[in-house]
Amino acid sequence: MHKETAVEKKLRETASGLFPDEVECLVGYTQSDIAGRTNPVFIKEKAEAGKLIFDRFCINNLSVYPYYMKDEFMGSIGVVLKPCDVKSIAQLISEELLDKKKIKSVVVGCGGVIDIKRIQRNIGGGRIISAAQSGDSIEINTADKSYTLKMADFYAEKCYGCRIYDSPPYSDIFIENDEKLPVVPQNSNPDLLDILEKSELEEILAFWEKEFSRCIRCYACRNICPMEVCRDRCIAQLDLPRWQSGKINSDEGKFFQLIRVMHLAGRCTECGECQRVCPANIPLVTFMKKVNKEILRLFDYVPGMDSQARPPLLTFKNVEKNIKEEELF
Amino acid sequence: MNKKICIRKENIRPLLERLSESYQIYLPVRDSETGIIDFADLNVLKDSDNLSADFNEKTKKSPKSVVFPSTETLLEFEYKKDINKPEITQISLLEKSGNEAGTEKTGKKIIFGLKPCDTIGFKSFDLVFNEKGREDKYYNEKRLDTVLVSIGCSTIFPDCFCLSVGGNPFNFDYSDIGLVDTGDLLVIMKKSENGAIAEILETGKEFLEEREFDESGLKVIDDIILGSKSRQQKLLEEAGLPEIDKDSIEKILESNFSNEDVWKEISQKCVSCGACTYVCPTCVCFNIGDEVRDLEGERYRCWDFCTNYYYTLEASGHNPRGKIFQRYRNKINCKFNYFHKRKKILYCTGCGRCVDVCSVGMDIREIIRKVLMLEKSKETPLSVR
Amino acid sequence: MKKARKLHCPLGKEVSKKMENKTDSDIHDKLNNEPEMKNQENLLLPVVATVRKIIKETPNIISLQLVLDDQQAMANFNFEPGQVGQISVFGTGEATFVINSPPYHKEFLQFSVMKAGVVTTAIHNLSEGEKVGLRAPLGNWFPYRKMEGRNILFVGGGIGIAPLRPLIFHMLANKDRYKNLRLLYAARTPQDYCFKDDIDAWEKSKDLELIQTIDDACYGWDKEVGLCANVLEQKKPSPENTVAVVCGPPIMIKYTLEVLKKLKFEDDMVYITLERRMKCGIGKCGRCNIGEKFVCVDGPVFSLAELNNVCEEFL
Repeated sequence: MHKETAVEKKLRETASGLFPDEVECLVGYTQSDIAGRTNPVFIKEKAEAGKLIFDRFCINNLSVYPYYMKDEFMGSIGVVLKPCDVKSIAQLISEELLDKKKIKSVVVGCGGVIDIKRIQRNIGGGRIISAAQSGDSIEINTADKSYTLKMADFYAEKCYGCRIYDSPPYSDIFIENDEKLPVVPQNSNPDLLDILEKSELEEILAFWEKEFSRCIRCYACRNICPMEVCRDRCIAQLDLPRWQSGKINSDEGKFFQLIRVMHLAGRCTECGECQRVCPANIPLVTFMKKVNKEILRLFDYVPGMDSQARPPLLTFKNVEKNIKEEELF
Repeated sequence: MNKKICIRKENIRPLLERLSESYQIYLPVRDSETGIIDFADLNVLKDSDNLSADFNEKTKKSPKSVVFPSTETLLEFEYKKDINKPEITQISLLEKSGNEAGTEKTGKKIIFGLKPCDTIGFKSFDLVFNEKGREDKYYNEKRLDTVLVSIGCSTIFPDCFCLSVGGNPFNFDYSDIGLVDTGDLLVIMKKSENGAIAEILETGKEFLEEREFDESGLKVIDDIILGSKSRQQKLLEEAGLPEIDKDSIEKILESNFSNEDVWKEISQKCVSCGACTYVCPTCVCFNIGDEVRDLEGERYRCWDFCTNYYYTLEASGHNPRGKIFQRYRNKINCKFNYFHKRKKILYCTGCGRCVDVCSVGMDIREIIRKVLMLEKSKETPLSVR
Repeated sequence: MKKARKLHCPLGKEVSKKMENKTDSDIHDKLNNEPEMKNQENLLLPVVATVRKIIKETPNIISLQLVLDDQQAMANFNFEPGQVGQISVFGTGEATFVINSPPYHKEFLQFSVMKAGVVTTAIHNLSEGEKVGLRAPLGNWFPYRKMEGRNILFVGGGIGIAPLRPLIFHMLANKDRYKNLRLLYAARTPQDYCFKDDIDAWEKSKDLELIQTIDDACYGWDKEVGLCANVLEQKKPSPENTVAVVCGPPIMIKYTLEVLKKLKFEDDMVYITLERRMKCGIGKCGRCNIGEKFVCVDGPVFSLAELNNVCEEFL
């Protein structure tokens, strides 16, 4: 159990204050047994607020829960969020899938979160037994070795270039955090989308063929996504009508991702959860990034930044500003 | 004085290459690009520099796909039309002996580098697929000529808990050959009655050596075994997870079945994906589907996961397990209650892969702890309401 | 040698002739043999069968008569009342239906199919002469020998008459082994009754007391009116030496069981059939479980006493 930091103190006080009148249940982060991870926790009374933590390993996007908790909880649901996560809430509200009045988003200013899978790959082998932040470094211990790594090299992909770390686009409560991101740190990993955009078609196909050969269609990517509220009605699993085969192989894996891409176009906030949870480490966010680029170009729209906007793909306009129909044919 | 057959570490690869002339060899392969370790055919090691054998780390997915592939064709069919009677069609069926397109998965196989928890998984599969009078042909074709070679666990991982479900890191009961890693050697500590073993040892004899183990030598091996067990024991003590009494956990789960609040609390994090089911060495649930194009088609079977909504969805639209907590409750009961009732073993090997892969940190050890702490309430048997 | 008795079934003379020279003990012996499943080596491979006849029972239920293409297999086909079969429409899928032709009948196998989902719709679109696949017999059966010497109360709702039909025929063919036979058959409207020929025969039969009921009163209907459970309660059947067999939609079974409990029927004298989504049918794919029981192997016939020991709700 680590020492309570300043931001955790503020968070716990705020959370206690929300009970019993303002929220019925609060979803937040808590300590996990496994190194480099935090677990979601569901707090239903004041006394449990001490379980909440907020540190560099809080990579989960907890906005996946409120939609599915609506049936069980009549009152408001509170969620502890990072500024990047709250974009999902804002997008869900703009699509009227969540009721603004029933959600209490407690946004904590963020200093960036660590991608433990990236560290795992970097150290080559050996299961990580413990991971802790100390100043600008991360202390990693495996069964037989210890490493001290520069934190700035191992942020999650989404943290590089983040500009909203202390000014979220939407929040009900905002908690300031003293720990800030170093000014727009550089990502030492080359950008996959960049590489693919410069490759030949055959290379791209071969790359994805290889990646999806590991796909086992566990649907972790779909179920962890806050925007995929369709998990009990997914067309990839329906029998009537049958859109997709139940087989588990590379072709079906690719087809399923293409279904997801179409479903998430203009809705994905690039939180990266799908890629994080994939048991086969397939770089799924790349698809979403590409589609969002197109959405930006065509509709001047970035998902999640404005909870009052009408998402372009849920709107019909007679004339679209950036699409010159006469040029299409 | 005790004579044991040993393999020097540098001879492992040449030994496997030699055996691959008459057997298909599967071993744990690390891909440094993706960071994943999984069982793969020996031949893939030649394909890429990123791949290397790794016998220490636990694989991400269990080796069950070697005998129970994620998709296999059961049969193919073809309709034949008679143009004089267009509303009538004849049909011909072709039984497929379960080959995934392009890969030859039947035939003699050796799975090398299993962990003891994986071998218990194979045992569970045998119990399910080889029920007397209801043998599964597709499974048997793959399983019959498979030799399981396991290496006892000198490293204990943070998510291991085989000791609490009745296993142990050096349990060779279900392996054909059991090896202990002494640092520079792999020592064969156990050989089963499988007839193929003599043939394997003969084929690979160039890379094997027989060594004498005196008392101190045997003690080194014993110390390795005891050391692993005590390291895991310590881990379990810290986690508060005792050795599970199979009968009492069955009764506790039974009597708390209708306690919906407990199950809702246990499963509130779960997002009902299939990751834990698919990496588990004992989970065997599958789905059967048909595909047809024009007049030809096939019937296939593929993995399925019990935590998904469609698992028990009926044609009428009614779903007996429509909520996540009902499905998760069924999953835990299946592992620690129902399977024990039917086959007398727990459907969990303590490998911890589900803990490692879960997106939201569902931890089966924590759940077992919670369940064991529940009071064995005396509920009246479910009577008609 | 006892003279064979007249059998009440819609096939009329055909079957009576066949059965004329058979005795009761013959029939019993046939049924006592362990029913075999064809293709023991591969239980997931269906045999091919032809659709002999399709009978439209109600607006959404048809009866499908199948004949196995392999004549030898057809002649040797044995099954017990209550057992089911998986019918495959190749390219669409498989679904489970109870074999509801009389067990001693060797000409064809009959299944009644209600249109509900993908496979049942495909079955409704079949024509006579088409080929389907069949995996049968699967599951367990009614313990009719345990029921000997007792009064039997059959309660069927809608399509639930289908599992009861083979049992009724068996018991009628062996009338002297059972005491009073009573059937309460409930349907929503007069058009929703299946097996209309059988109903005519049963009405006239002295060996079976038939009570029919529909949900709401309707012109031209002079029999009982009311929900199955309510009518059962009114009739107050005595639990004395009586076995109740209840089949139908889950909600109907639920209310009927409540009434039987009120009437003091013992749990081990009440049998029901349950359904769950089924795929492999041989206890391997794991999905049809109710607690530790698999409906495809330990069911579909269950006694209430057995189900009360299972922790999962069965209705």
